[in-house]
Amino acid sequence: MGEPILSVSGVYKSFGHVQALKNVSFTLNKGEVLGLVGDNGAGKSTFIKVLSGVHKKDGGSINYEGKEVDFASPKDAIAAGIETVYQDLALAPDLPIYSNMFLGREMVRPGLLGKLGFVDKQAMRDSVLTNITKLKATLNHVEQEVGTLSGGQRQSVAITRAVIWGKKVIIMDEPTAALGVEESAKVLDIVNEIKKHGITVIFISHTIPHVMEVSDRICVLRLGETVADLKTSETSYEEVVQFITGSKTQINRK
Amino acid sequence: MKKKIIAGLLVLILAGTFSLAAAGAGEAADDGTKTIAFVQGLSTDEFYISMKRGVQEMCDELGYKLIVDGPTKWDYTMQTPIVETMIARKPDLMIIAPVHSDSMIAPLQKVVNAGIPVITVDTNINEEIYLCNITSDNLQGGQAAADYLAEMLGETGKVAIMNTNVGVTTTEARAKGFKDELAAKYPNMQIVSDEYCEDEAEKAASIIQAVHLKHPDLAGVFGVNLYASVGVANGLDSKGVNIPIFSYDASPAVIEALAEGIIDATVVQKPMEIGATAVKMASYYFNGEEDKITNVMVENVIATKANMDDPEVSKWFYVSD
Amino acid sequence: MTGKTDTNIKQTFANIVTDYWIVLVFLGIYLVFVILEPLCLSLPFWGSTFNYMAEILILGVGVMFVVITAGIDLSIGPVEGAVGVAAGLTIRSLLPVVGNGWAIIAGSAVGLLLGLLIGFLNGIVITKLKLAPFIATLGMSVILTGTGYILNNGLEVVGLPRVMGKIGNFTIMGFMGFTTIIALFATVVFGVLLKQTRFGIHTYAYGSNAESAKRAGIDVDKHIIRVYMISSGMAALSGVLLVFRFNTGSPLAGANVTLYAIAACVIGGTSVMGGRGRMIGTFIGALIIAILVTGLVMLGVQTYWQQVSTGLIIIFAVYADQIRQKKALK
Repeated sequence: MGEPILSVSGVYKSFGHVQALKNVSFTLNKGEVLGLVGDNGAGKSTFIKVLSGVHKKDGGSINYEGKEVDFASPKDAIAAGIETVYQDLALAPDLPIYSNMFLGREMVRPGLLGKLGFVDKQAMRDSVLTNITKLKATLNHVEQEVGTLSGGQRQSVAITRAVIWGKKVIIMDEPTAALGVEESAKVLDIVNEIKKHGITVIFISHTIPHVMEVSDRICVLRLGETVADLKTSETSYEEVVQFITGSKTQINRK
Repeated sequence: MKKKIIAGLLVLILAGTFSLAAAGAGEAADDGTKTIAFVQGLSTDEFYISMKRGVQEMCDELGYKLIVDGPTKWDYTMQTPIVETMIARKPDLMIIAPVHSDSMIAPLQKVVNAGIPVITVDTNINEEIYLCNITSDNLQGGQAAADYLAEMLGETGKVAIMNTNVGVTTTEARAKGFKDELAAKYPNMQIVSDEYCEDEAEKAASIIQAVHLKHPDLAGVFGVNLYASVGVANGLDSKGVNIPIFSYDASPAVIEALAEGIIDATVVQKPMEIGATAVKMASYYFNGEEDKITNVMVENVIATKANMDDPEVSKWFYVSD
Repeated sequence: MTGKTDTNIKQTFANIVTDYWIVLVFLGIYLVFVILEPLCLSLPFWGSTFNYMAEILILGVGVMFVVITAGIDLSIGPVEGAVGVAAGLTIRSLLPVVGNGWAIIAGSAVGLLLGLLIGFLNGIVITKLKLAPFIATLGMSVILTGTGYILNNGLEVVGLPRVMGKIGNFTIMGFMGFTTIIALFATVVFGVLLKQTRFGIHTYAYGSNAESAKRAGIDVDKHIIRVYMISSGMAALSGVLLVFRFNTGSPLAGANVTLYAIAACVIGGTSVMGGRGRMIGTFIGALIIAILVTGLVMLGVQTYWQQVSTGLIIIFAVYADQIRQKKALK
């Protein structure tokens, strides 16, 4: 058993009359992959936005690394080590892979040149290469412009970037949604790799087989509520679907 | 001073595009004093500023009221509204330098229809709805430049013209006058280049350098305005070439270039005399002496470094306020 | 093995052609001029070409940063004019008090600072008032044209010390003018800034995907303000250099160069959609525009053909760039 890194209990959030989140609860250990699933409107996106600091929760508690947190802005969440890889990936298509991975925190050269803002391209390329190798990402050429990469490769860039930046929790929003079979497989491989490096992942997806493949635990949301917090090894595709559709309602079988 | 600042702010607010109505100018008087409206071609040009002085002095002398306005760009879409505003101010006569010979016919027809006679100065329109035209003719200025340059060069040699922008009637007329005169009278002189510098001295400089490279025996250049001639002078000077350079007009910048030997001669028009003559014609109209009203062609003079201190020449140099 | 090397060489050659095709276009144009008029090979021909290129290049180098951020700066030409008048007036009024040297230094400084201030204001209007760059800088350009007139009633500022002209027309090797030297120096400095520094990378990043730049923690507003200060500052530099060269501060200076400067960037491969562009491209772009003037003059063709041919090359360049990008995406 790992130590818990993120413990969420009773989180709720409403927008006017609409109660988007009623009671979201789960506990996640360091280095685990949590599959967050649910039908459209179940509250996945809203919860992710609360966790990444876009929205403020109305109540409940989020305990991160043993401390109660309430992020005021995305910057706070990022500073705390929680990175969200959005569907649009937030990459600059005209820049090469390595520049994208270091965007906003470029390595500078030692001495005066560094103070003047001269970047150390070689060091960045080396670091990117090391991390790509570490994560077994299929990116062959760090100089390649991101705009010329395939969808899966772009995912790899965005994920590797989060790893390079030393993130502890990576939230992935539908990383395989737009990808073909082969490309999806590559992304799932990377998720498995980063788990080995002790990074915690929240994996949001509609594609239940992908969730089953990479996750350690599955949290099912329905109508803004956690309706199931399951161990992946102890559940099945059918059971997860039943929880999603509401034909099964047992809670927290641990 | 305060007024100037306020006016400046106003112009800033209006984003500088719209010309200001002459601040504080009086409307047509009821006491029998005649009011003359003067519409300039370009209110920021020393030529028209000088013309305004000539108009003003003659009006003062004859006891007329004067209202003045003009566009900040040589553009009939900017001059037309000024003309229309002037109609509303009911002057007894309008003196105008129309910025386009066809496009300004309709606006000036309106003026005439409102019972306000029109005298055109400097430029003209292609329809005789005006009392008379007082001008010093750019065509004739170009001819004068050609004659003088021919004399300087012994009626032989290669010359170049530096024009400004395609389709500007005044500068095109100067160039045409220059070309026609050379072709008609000086068979041994040849125009080897006729280029446009878009009013950019730096472009004129590079163009004339290329022309000189192609024609190292280039003997003289006629620049149709300040930018063209100063640019030509700069381009040739930096190659150590010293040949006669002719300019046009007598604004302070041209006179300074002349005094320093950057250019060698310039065609000086007499805007003050044109203005004064126009008011004189207006007085004939007011006094019923219509038989005395006639078109007048005011002669240009040529200023050189040698004669520029002669008061008979320097009195025609343009003023800037 | 040899087969593989062959394809590599072919591939490399193809890359060079697609990356540097504009250089080939330039060489093609030059070759035509040389064939029709061998004098185009001479040093003085290059001198006059460089002298005309210099102004376009200085403006182009600055505005290129703006274009890479997917913006546009229409005020650079009017900045030249307004700065020239302001610098000229400052010099003339200080002349009797502090003497030539200090008056010239003060006037140049006033001109450059005015340029930076205008760029700062452009940046503020674009980032804080959220106006489109096109509108913000269009407004600024109209304001400046008016200001140029207000400052000195639309007249040239004359009576400046002759020593300015001496500096401004200083020439080395018999053909390379003062302005040209500064233009080439600026091209190298800003080329390095663009390619080798965080500032440059952030410029590309913003133009490529503004949202991702923001999320990467780049202070994008501050960055955009600086970019417009570079554009306007370079225009001011050009304006001051014109005062030196012609000993006159003219409100008309720069009336036509704004579009030539932007055209130099575009011909050189800078994308108006942002994110792309190389300094060497802008240099070649400015050189093409300039050589079309001097070359056509050498052939005795009137220079308005230069405008027609520049326009055609812009369309050709952008079209070729589109094709290139589509290919790259495949």
